[in-house]
Amino acid sequence: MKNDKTCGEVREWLANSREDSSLRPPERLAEHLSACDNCHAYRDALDALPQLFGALRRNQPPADLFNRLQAKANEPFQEEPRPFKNLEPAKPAAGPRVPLFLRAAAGLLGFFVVTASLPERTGKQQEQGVSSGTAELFTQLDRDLLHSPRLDSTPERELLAHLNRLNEKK
Amino acid sequence: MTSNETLTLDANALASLRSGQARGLEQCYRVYGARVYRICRNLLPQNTDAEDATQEVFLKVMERIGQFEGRASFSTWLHRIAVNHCLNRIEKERRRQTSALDDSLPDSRPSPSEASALAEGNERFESFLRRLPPMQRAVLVLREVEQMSYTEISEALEIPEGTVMSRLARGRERLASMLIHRKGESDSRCAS
Repeated sequence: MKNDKTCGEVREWLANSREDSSLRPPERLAEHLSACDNCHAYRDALDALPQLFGALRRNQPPADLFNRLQAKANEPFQEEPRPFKNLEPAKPAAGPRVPLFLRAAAGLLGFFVVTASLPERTGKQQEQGVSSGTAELFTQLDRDLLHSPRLDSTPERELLAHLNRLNEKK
Repeated sequence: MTSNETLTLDANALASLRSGQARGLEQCYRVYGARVYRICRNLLPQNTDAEDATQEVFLKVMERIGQFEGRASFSTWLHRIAVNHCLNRIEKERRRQTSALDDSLPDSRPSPSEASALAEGNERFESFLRRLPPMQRAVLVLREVEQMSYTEISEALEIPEGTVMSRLARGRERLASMLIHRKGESDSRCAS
């Protein structure tokens, strides 16, 4: 007996009902199953699967695998950091522990000392803002570079002189 | 997985693992080593890859133990790492082969080396199993070899239980077809 559509139905039913041995196929499928050699062979193949899978359960890792794993876990950093350089519990850093609030206070004190030591800008400079800072820079450049003999007749020197003149006019 | 294998990691062992002690790794390996090895062996295309993969899985467990929040069981969490690690390896290998052999199409027939391995019953079945899509294979291995429940598989693979059941059924169908096909081939060889 061969009917592709019914064979398909029977196979699907067989595959879906493997987990529950109490299930019985509908009468129509049961009749087909008893008469179709292909479906019968298919059911035999499905019945053989648990035993075949059971054989895979006997696979065991090699005896030395754990030693190799342990050696790898202790390896120093290579391509990527290993979880533990040394399989020992982490030790606290040496030296006295400073409470968090003292560390925060020290940070604030440092900040005030640094800001207080910075040169104060004049009111005019503050008004001029960015352009004042630029003028200072050009003056500095002029002093350092414009009189350098290495810059004679270079376009850079001409540009600096021009910028300086513009700045003086302001 | 034999039924007498203990599948729990006690709180002390988990704490040791968290604090990076060698004892924690040893206890974790003692409980789950064989199971992780079998998963790797049955999911990866080459048996020889399983040893490296097993080590990599345990190293990942150590790296990520801080992320384990205990919402799922440790066992589920570890299985997820093991299966994902294998699936990633398979995908990487597939990409490498695709870029190396752009002009050759994948061949579902057994390779010559595979064909010689088919002489052995178990290896023959393993080669059939390896021809299934990786996720179908993962579901089958967790259910049939590791005897995990639908719920455990669903949590480990992060897929709905319905998907677990349908993948199991499709996987079994395909394996049964391969077994029949193989039997037909050997019968015809005997007759000739």
